[in-house]
Amino acid sequence: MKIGLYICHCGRNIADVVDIKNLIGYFKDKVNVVRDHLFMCSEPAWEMIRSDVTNKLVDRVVIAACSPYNHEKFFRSALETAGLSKYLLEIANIREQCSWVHGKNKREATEKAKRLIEAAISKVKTLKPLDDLRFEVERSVLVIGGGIAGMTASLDLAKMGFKVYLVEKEPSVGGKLIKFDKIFPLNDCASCVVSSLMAEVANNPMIELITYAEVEEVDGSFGNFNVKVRKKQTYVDWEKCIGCGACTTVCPPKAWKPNEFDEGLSKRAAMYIVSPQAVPKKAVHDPELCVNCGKKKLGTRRFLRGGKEYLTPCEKACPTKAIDRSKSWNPEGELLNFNVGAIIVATGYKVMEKETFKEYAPHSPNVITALQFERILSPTGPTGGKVLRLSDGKKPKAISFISCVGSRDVRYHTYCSKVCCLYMLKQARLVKEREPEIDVYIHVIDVRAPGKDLEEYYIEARRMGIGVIRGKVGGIEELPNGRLRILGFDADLGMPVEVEVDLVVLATAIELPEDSKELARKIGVAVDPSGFLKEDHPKLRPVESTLSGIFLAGCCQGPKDVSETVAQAKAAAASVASLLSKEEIKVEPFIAKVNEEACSGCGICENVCPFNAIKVNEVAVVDERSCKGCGICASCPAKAIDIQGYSAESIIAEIDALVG
Amino acid sequence: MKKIKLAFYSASGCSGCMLSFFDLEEFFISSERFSIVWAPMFTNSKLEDLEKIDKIDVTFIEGSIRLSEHEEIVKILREKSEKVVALGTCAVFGGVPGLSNFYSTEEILSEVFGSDKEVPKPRLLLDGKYELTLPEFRDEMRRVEEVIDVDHFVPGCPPSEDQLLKIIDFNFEEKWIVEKSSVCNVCPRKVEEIKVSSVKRAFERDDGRCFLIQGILCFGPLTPGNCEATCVKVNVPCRGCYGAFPNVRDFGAKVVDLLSSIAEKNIAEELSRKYPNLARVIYAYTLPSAIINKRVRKR
Ligand SMILES: Cc1cc2nc3c(=O)[nH]c(=O)nc-3n(C[C@H](O)[C@H](O)[C@H](O)COP(=O)(O)OP(=O)(O)OC[C@H]3O[C@@H](n4cnc5c(N)ncnc54)[C@H](O)[C@@H]3O)c2cc1C
Ligand code: SF4
Ligand code: SF4
Ligand code: SF4
Ligand code: SF4
Ligand code: SF4
Repeated sequence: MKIGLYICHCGRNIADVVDIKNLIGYFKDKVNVVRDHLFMCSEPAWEMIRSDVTNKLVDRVVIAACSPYNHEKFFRSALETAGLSKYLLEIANIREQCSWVHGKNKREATEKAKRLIEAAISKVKTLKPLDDLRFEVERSVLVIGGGIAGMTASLDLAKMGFKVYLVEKEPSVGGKLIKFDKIFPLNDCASCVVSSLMAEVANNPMIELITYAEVEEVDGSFGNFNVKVRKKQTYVDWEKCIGCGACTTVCPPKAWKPNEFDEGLSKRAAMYIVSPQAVPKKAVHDPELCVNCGKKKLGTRRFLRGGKEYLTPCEKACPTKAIDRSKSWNPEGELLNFNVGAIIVATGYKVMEKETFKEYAPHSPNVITALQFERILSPTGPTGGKVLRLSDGKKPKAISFISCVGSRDVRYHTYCSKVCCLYMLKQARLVKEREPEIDVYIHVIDVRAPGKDLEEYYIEARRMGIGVIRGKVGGIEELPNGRLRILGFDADLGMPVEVEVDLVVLATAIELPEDSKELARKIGVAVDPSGFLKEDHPKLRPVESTLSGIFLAGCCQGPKDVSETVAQAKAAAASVASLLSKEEIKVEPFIAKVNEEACSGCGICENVCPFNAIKVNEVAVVDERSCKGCGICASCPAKAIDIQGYSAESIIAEIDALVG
Repeated sequence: MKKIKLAFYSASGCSGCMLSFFDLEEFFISSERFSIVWAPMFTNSKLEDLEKIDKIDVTFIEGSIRLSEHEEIVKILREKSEKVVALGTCAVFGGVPGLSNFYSTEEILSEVFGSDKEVPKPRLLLDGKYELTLPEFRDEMRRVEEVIDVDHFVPGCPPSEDQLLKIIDFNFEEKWIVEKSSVCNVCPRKVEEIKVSSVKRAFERDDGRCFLIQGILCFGPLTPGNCEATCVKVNVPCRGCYGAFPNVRDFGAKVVDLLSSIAEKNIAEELSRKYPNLARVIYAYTLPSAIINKRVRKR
């Protein structure tokens, strides 16, 4: 075994603090080759290492430089081109872990550098040559969530020739945007932006649109995930349904409930079509709401005297006989199974409900969330786009918007929900445009409108006569006449203010939907402390999740507006495409390895593996594709498992060198 | 036919491991094949006799090493023997006597002799005329392997019949004579999936399911199953008397490692509350082989 040690000055970053000459002298007799360089990450230094390996002076390499996170791959390539296993390399981080943090104490920094290098030498001695794992790539992609993010990513990928499975939880794609009338900053028509995308995803032959479905299970790994999707049962034959809506008007009122599409501001029946713009525009039967008209239970048939079959009002109403309630109820639905090479998660957001905020009179029907107000403003909404309050259908004389409800508040979320300032301005402007005589107030901590066109958007709003009051709102009182009194503070005047209005709109915080957390757990991606899905690196890998092969797009990764959502979706699609366009992918071989001689077959590893990557029959067997090298199974009671490249032997050798 | 020359020596052991050979009819049936050349336990064997022997084929050492005398004798035995076998858990892992590493030499001697004053002097004159030198009482209990090279390990407290039958021809090759599968494999309480969500003691209500699942410490998964789960069959959780599997360096650390991977939530506090002497439980048989193998005192 011939060890080469290469010490980097990093310009003056390391050399100013760590005495490199001293290190060279100290290690001269302990390894076979010692060299230093001003910049080890430069081409000449790379060549120096490569030629030492090629000339057989060295067959294990230790580099003392910056964090392996920076240049490990680059250094590995020097070994690889010289024909050596690229994993016979160990990096001692004497910059971030030494010179940068011990600048004041040069002597001790040099001693610490010695220890770090000794640990790397001890470890490199224990390393075994390893090869990358190579897997074939499945040229298809799963996109979860059919909002603007999911649709944009799906279309981009489909146009590049990838097969896309787009799974949407609701019976229709469209996400939040299809609920809106206009979108800032151009105040262009939301439906015009989204409807065409919805039609495209439905008609693109490369996209298999699976709505009213949820991802049940994901196994395998980057390049080849096995996906199980559960499609809920509709009781309507979608092949036959023409979306005429005849069935949706016949259910008795007992079988109605608050309509999700209108954010609960209207009712829908047990037979329903999500929205007038729904894609696919197909009816769905809600068995939990259905009252079994004519005592015809789901999954049964009923015959009248005379042998004629009894049909429920919905079945009777359907011109194409698409509804079949005699199908037995299968709450499990239908399980679809397919393989994909990569996954994009685009499950969007939810807004906090008003009920959380007791101080804002949530019991009053005239206190609503901004998402509800979007429906009031929408021509497809409960008021047909007229600005009315829902308690009495009258036009309000005054409206107040309250910002940062649940955002920038230590009790709920410390983050800023980013879009509310602007959509409040948008909503306020739409009110003013339609009904100039309505007084509109916006209560804000401050207005956040950074970036192109947005400050201008704010100025325009002020010009239109919208009252922006700076100061936090302490509470809202409902007055006996149903009006609402805002108890606020005007920071500019430095005194409390009270405003009486007829309608209050709360800009409640944006959050990750509950079931997305469950989904994240199932597929193994991390959630960050803000509660959104965690990107791998905020600057360098903003669309990658913490798990290779799984990407993020849209608001599930954090609050953002439509422009940013679309940009991220396109970036995610491009990243996926660049990875899946290769024939095979190479994966680092740092996975669990079972010593079959030692395995007792106890099954603990199978129990504890979070990725179902290890199965025990007589002895444990690791599925190389699924193993993420997390190391949990190394708790094996017989110590029959090691993680390649990080064996117990290597780690103990390192520790011994550090503390010995 | 040349007879196989055997020696038996018991250091800090209870003689149980050695006697289990004598429980075995096969030992007596094959007795014309070997001769016992030195065995102070059951023949008249003095140190001078040992010094006179020039070659031993197989030496069995039972017990762990505490006295200077143990150390001297096993070194002589090593020199003269073709093969040295560490017989039983004490010899292999330190065993129950190894628990004494939780105490200092002074604590142990004054506890045994009532007070510091009663502790016998290293040299004393017996009956006013016999000069007697006591062996030195060392600071820690050690495994045989820490003192001399060992060729074979036969753990067990005592080793089981099936292990002894494997070595009764005294011509075996394997380094470790122990079952590859664990106590759980032979346990009647066998389960599909072990998860722990709370902690109990064995004397609290035992519902008959796998002890670990109930939160009762059971070392079945960590312990070779030669015992046929004797303890669990009489409703006593496994305490790991066979010590660890050959690859495992530290039994107690492995227990913690295992618990932390099968625990569904943080049970650390509950565990130390319910088992106030946790270290003594998880190291009941193996303390001298642990990474931290004795009580560490602040200097
Ligand atoms: C009141 C309000 C007004 C706004 N106005 C504007 C504006 O004017 N201009 C602007 O730029 N931005 C605006 N925004 C922000 C805008 O809504 C978002 O930027 C955009 O909707 C994000 O798109 P998305 O695809 O990430 O998420 P979403 O639109 O939430 O879409 C997510 C999709 O995923 C589906 N889904 C969720 N979970 C699952 C699951 N587990 N499995 C399968 N599918 C799932 C959902 O059903 C949904 O179809 C506003 C936000 C709010 C709250
Ligand atoms: S009546 Fe029939 S065709 Fe029309 S929407 Fe209902 S199920 Fe579809
Ligand atoms: S965008 Fe505006 S209203 Fe929304 S949380 Fe941030 S500051 Fe508050
Ligand atoms: S935990 Fe270890 S001994 Fe048990 S089955 Fe897995 S590899 Fe084998
Ligand atoms: S290292 Fe072990 S526990 Fe982790 S994924 Fe691989 S097999 Fe599963
Ligand atoms: S842990 Fe104990 S009780 Fe449970 S299966 Fe193993 S030996 Fe049996």
